[in-house]
Amino acid sequence: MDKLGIEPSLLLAQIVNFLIIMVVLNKLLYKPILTMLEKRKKKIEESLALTESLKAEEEKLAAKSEKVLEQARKQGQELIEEARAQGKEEEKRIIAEAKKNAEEIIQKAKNEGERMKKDMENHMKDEAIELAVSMSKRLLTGVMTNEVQQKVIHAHIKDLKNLKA
Amino acid sequence: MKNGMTKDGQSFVEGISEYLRQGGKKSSIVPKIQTLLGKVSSAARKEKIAYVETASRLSEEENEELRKVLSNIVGHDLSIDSSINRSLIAGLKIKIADFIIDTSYSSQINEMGEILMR
Repeated sequence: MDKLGIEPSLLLAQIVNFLIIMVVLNKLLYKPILTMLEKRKKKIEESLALTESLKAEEEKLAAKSEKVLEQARKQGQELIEEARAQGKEEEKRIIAEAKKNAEEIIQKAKNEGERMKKDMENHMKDEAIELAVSMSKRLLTGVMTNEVQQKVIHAHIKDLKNLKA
Repeated sequence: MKNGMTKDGQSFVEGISEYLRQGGKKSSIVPKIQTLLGKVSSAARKEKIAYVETASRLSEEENEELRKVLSNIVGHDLSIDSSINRSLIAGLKIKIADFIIDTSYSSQINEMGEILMR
């Protein structure tokens, strides 16, 4: 060893020093670092798990949201269809009502026309009769002779004579 | 043309005239007067004067004959107050209180008109 220039006592001291340093370093530095790294790893794993969980939750929510949207679309479509159907029904009802009203108006007009025609006919008939009565009186007055009048008077007196009170 | 009328006008007048005359002959007025007689009121039975309207003047004989007939109807003697009403055309209109007999052509034409108007 002397030939190699190594002092055994010094080597021993250095070995002891090295071991001491190793023990100290292991105790004060290596173990806390490992613990810290372990904790950090655990924390990262937890974060990753949480992220996964949140992602899953987000997907779940997205699916739910899509479902709700789909349902809303479906309901909206149904409402539109219902409104369309109601609109058609209303349209039919309005057309039927308008038709009925128009028919009533036409019927009323016809009735009124008939009534007016009848009134006019009656009026014309009355006028014609009045005219005939008036003409008859005038013409008879013009042509009535005393002889005829006497005959009529005699006839009527004879009628009265045959009566019994 | 006769009396200034056309042939149609003359036929019309003759037709009406004939109808009214036949009414008298066939006593179509009788049932009407018979019905009226049932309605002779007590006031008419007490009345002393019969008011008679004719289109032409009544002769004395006609006047007397009519007085007798009417007296017989009301059941006592009546006197006749006669007057001329040209609008009657022909026939008689007699009024005894509220009892009226109207056999004039005028009223018969009016009745015909009323019947036609119905």
